[in-house]
Amino acid sequence: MPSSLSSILLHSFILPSSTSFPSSPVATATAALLSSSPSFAAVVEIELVLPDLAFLLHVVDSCSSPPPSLTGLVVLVLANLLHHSCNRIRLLAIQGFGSTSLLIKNAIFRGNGVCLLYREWNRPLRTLNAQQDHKLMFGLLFSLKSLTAKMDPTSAEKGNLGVPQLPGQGCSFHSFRTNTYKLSFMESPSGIKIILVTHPRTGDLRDSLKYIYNLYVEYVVKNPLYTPGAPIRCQLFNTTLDQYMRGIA
Amino acid sequence: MAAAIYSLYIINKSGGLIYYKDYGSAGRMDTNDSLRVASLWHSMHAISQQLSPVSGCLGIELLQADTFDLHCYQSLTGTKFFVVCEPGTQHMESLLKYIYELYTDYVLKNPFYEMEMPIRCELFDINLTQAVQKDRVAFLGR
Repeated sequence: MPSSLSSILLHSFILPSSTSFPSSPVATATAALLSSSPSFAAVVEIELVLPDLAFLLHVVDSCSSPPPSLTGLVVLVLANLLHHSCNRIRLLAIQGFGSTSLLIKNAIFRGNGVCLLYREWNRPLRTLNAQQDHKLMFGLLFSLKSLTAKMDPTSAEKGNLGVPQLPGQGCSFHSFRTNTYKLSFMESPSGIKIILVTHPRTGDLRDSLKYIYNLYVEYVVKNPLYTPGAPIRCQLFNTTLDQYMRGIA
Repeated sequence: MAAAIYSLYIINKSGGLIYYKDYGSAGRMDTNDSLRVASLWHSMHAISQQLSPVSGCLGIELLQADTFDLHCYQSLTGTKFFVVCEPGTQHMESLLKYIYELYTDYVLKNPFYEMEMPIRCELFDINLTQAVQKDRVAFLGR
């Protein structure tokens, strides 16, 4: 299945599209993607080979008829963090929140803690400036990870606070809950962070996060026209993601 | 269901640590580290309110990590009580509310206690230890 999927993607995306992609060594990317291994190794390889590119994109869609059973809002943030040691941390944000109306917003930007994708499915108005929002979120998550690594009651030997941790190093949190929202978080071994902001009474969303990461691997990473570090503009990914979100809402 | 509490922190409304008690975790922290962690938590609590998609957020109540859970209770005056416990521990909110009651009785009503200063009230320590012990026995006994 993986090989056929990547060949399908190759066909659909290599056609000229309206959005312009910055010039990049597509050949290397294509070679890496066509090996069609949906493993972390492939993702890391692509990340190290291709340079980063910056985009800022806002797309706002609105849905006319909201699904009645919608109880959760989903935020998924993907950002790209460029470290000197080539340890890139990606943060993909898809944010949705709400109870009655559905709003889809897609925002991507990059830099240290750059957001690669931001989508909303339902968000009652209460927005800071979007850029500030993403930076705040990245900062919060980075600090919380540092805090949990330090506070870990089961490990005796810990580093100092504030030392950047590699993905998977030290204890990491997977969710936190406030009285108005619940945030679920997952970091892949390659540094991609996936975040979902939902209704506070949502259950454990770790499986959903893993599923979304798989969608990302299938539709984004295997897209030969996608350069790692760039904001995500894969229509198939957005569509599948929306379908999945509506399914679980 | 495991119900071991690893540690308890109380921070004042400006974010300074006023009480820290460790109940036997391998990751016991020295004073400086506990102060830093408390201030960091205070800031994170505040930032999480800003990130809320709806208004009326009061901050993080529960943080779930791989090896521990952190329950936080904020009083109306901004004093935060948070406890690090084993994942999946139940009834931490009621324990935290009870600790708040002990705080009001044995710390705030103590005429020698200065507000926002570190807590050095013997009766508070004694009653707190009893409460935590009772909690531990109640759950482990089941």
